[in-house]
Amino acid sequence: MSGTQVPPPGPTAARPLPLGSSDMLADRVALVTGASRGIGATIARALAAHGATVAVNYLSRHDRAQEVVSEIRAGGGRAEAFAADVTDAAAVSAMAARVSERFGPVNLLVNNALREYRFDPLARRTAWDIPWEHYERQFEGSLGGAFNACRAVMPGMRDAGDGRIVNLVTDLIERPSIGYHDYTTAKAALLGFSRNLAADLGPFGITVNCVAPGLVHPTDASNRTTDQQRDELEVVTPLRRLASPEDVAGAILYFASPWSSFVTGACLFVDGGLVMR
Amino acid sequence: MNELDARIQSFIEAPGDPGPGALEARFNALALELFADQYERNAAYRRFCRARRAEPGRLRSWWEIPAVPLKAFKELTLACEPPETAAAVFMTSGSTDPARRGRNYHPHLRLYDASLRANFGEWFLPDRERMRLLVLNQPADQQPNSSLAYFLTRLFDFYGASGSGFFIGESGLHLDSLVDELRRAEEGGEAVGLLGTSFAYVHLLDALRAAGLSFRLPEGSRLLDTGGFKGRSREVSSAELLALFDEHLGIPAPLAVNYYGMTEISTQYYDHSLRSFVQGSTAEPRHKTVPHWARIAIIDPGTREPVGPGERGLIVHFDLANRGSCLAVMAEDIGHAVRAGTAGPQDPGGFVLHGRAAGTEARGCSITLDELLAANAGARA
Amino acid sequence: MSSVVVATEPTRDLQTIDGFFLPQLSEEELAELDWTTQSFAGAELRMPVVTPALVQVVAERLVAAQAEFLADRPVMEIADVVGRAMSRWYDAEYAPRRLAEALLPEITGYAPEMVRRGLRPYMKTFRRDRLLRFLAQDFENPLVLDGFQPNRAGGRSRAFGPRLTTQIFAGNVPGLPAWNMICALLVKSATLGKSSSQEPLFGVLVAASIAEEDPGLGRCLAVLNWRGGEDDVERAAFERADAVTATGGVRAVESIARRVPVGVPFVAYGHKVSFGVIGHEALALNRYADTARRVAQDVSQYDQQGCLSPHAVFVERNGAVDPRTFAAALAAEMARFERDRPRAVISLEESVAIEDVRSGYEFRAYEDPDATHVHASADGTAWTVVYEERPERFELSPLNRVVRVHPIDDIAEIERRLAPLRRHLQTAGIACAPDRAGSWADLLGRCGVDRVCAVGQMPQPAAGWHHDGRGSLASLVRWVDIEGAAETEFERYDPEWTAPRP
Ligand SMILES: NC(=O)c1ccc[n+]([C@@H]2O[C@H](COP(=O)([O-])OP(=O)(O)OC[C@H]3O[C@@H](n4cnc5c(N)ncnc54)[C@H](OP(=O)(O)O)[C@@H]3O)[C@@H](O)[C@H]2O)c1
Repeated sequence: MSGTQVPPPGPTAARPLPLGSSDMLADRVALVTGASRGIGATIARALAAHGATVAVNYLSRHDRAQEVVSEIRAGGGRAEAFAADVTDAAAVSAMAARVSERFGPVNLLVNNALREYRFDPLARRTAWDIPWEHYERQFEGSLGGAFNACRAVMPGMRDAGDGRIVNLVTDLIERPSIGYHDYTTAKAALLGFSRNLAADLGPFGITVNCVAPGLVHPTDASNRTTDQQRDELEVVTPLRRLASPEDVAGAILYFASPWSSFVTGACLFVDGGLVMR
Repeated sequence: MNELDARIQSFIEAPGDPGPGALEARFNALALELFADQYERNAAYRRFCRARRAEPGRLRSWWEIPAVPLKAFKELTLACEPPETAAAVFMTSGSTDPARRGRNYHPHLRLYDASLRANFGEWFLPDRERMRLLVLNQPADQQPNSSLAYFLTRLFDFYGASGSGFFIGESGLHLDSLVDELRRAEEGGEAVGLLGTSFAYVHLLDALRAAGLSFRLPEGSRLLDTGGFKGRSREVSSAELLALFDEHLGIPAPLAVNYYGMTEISTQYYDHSLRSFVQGSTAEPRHKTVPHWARIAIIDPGTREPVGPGERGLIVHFDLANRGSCLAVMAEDIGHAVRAGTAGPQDPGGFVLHGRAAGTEARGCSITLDELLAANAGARA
Repeated sequence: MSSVVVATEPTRDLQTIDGFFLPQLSEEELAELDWTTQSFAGAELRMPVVTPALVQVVAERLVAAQAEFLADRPVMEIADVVGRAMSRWYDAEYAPRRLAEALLPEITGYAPEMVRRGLRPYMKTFRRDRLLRFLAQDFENPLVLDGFQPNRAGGRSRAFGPRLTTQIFAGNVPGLPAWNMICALLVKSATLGKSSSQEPLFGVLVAASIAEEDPGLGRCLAVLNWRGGEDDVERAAFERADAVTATGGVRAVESIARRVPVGVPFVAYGHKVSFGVIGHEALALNRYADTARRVAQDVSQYDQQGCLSPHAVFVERNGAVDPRTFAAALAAEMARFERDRPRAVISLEESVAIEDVRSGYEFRAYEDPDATHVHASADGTAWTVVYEERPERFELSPLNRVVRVHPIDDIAEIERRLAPLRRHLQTAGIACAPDRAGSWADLLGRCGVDRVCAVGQMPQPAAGWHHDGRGSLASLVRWVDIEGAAETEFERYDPEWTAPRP
């Protein structure tokens, strides 16, 4: 009879994990919205590599979501794909119930989903011609989506007296180098939303924080930026390069980990020093 | 009985490579497989595990398998198969309200039987195939929901030589016929085995004393007893009981084997004393043994971590034979672990059972409502 | 099993401290006693082996000391002396206080921070001005303790305290013996104290600081330790006493009650049950988190071991946050309290009791997740908050920071639920608007409660509280009345009328 507990080995890496691996998040059930591709997919992989069980949410690209799931599983991690439109409250709460049924209540929520948006610096709408409907669409996507997801997981977090919510915003809210009015305004609103949430949920041991990346490359969203634009941005950035999806995932890991247990209502800029505050 | 059951059965019957590493690895693999199976098929248990974030595929060691408290057998339906198809439903005694009795559902009893046989032969009959067995209990057909009656009846079936029988019926102890049997054994010189609960023995010994009877049973005669005295009118310490066995039946202490079993599990844990005695090594200090298809963990319920050998802790069972419900069960009994070799080089180690974890006065004003109200009734004005 | 490592205790020099207070005996007499020690992690308490003979001698000398130093001492002077002695404790550097802060956590297992922060306000209960409140609470005119004073019936009355009170101290909450001893002194009674084996130190320290201030008063106090229930010793201890007090569990108090000689007043502070009631006002959005914090303090202080600690909290439904949310906030506060004032290590049996409660509710929650929820510390049994909508009956907590939260629509509901416990109720911690407090107190009093306080203050009763519904002082004294009519009659015998004229 050997009564001693053997720590489970970390997931074996199929490919190098730039953010390392551990079982630090073994007690986390993470829901990452919009995790089928882009930054969300990297976040999902990084959380899983550190032991979290990950619900990979997506809108329509089942194949891409499944790819992320397979990759995580191949590395010894635990994940499953869950389709839901974050702007649809009923769909989101049904998803949360399914995740809970499968893995237990969500105790780490990453609001990353981004409603289809064309980041085209040359074809963007200007202050004098952008219609109100564009704002509305972004509010509904960024703010409404986060609202729905938060509402769905809050009771479980409250019952557990433990929860982490991390919302993706953008450094454009501090430094609008390019005027994506609707997108940036909605993200600024999301920051305000997050701080209010942080104040109200603090008593229950739930933290709410934001991560504000600069331009992340490569992602589908940043595809349309021109080489010259990217070069110009690198030159004015103190760390003199663009953000990678891993840079963003690193900040998310911090907010998911015990290292940030006394941090709430914060906004961490991941943009190489472009915004300093 | 499915393919996994068959593999567990053959593991119980023939563990294969006896090297400790290999045995541990096989046990671990089977335990995790059985856990996955029970997780899938036992909805209430799945829920219990989910609350502890334990899932098949997530656990690396049998030790991490969530152990259900005994209360779960009372309040939940812990069954892997539809309860109505169970081959046997064993119920705990104690409560008068049948709804408050714990239930262990067995879809079949092959693993129960395999466990029972592998263990009994090793610890009670290491030196012979069969023996005349005198059972101080009702047979299973009179008590269909008693795991104890089933257990004793199976021993009777498998190991009872001719002349074996049951000496408790619905009307109580059949003292006269038992006395006849004991006398016959004493005269015939053929060793017999007695099987029963501690309480039944106390009853018998009281009756013998009242009748002024005592026996010197032939050499090799032995006795198996189990259980405590909870809720009974009279309590006798195990040391007293051993002395009485010697005095009234002529059964020396090492041949009086106590075993520990519960309705909620499917394996019994025997004193090593008889086997050690037969092998000519020392039987003291006495402890219980753990067969290769089970594990006993002694934990601190405050931290859920295992405690060191010799330290008191709560007993947790991991029993591959407990197929129908949950292989991991947290008992309400306190014990301490004993290292291998404590009672001679042959000693496999095991644990010592201290008894139930209840009824001690806590630091402060802890008391149950019933105790409080009862105390109030008797106090002086 | 071979991989299990057994820790070895580091050897440490133990400090030896007196675990008794016996100024009545000379050095030589002490040297002749048999001695024993009780060891704790940081210290060793030296104590005499108590025999009936020793108790007899001590009791006799206590009675003599009472006659010499206490019987004719004006009560205000006693209050002065005790107040001065206790004021020494307000200095953080005072050696006995430092000793208590260092050793009580070792002896009791309570978190050092909790002991430190509990002791400080507690000792202030015995400031001189508060001692006057003890007196004022029980005596309209405290001078009745010094001599006959006019009474309402037209005569005069005087209150005599016992010459000697034998007091069985509790050990569940540090500090209680101070209350017992000081109450006795205020009614001019000597105390023969039996310390609790769970916490034998504090009574000794308090007695010593009174002796430091006034050796005469010190001679009226003795603190010994014997195993509770030792019949011949206790018989000797009760024999010479004019009164007996005992603070303890049901079993202990019952057993003592059977052995106190008939005719000797017996004041029992037995098993009591406390609870909280939270009104909707305290669930306002700007209040509920703070309310939860206060309740968490009440539950967690001294690991819920005191009779003053709540077993359950009833929470009104119509507040800004619902009771279930309040339970969650309470759970989070329990976790915070645990961070810097961790619960003591508890016995196997106590842990099992907590696990048993938790699992029972967990299984019930499977059936009805909206009506039941268990909030529990993640690793181990440190704290537990059970939300239970429809309790079958009022259950007692297994203590060690386990509290139930029950929603109510109206406080009137609790009257029925508490009915079986009527004779055992003690403190109700409440939080509601001022205009409701009065009617709540009426109702709670009717239920059997004897103390109504604010949530957050449950573990610290105010000076002079009618402990368990009786005057702490009044229950010790014996009244002597001179009847008014007699005084008029006495006029008839005035020498003016009766003495022969020279
Ligand atoms: N990329 C950047 O340079 C940059 C810079 C700063 C901040 N950010 C922020 O980082 C986050 C991720 O950006 P990204 O560039 O990685 O996005 P992306 O590549 O465009 O990915 C969008 C993801 O969101 C999902 N999605 C879209 N609409 C959805 C809906 N209604 N419901 C659920 N899921 C939906 C998509 O699912 P399908 O695959 O099924 O369509 C996809 O997984 C965003 O919040 C963005 O604002 C990005």
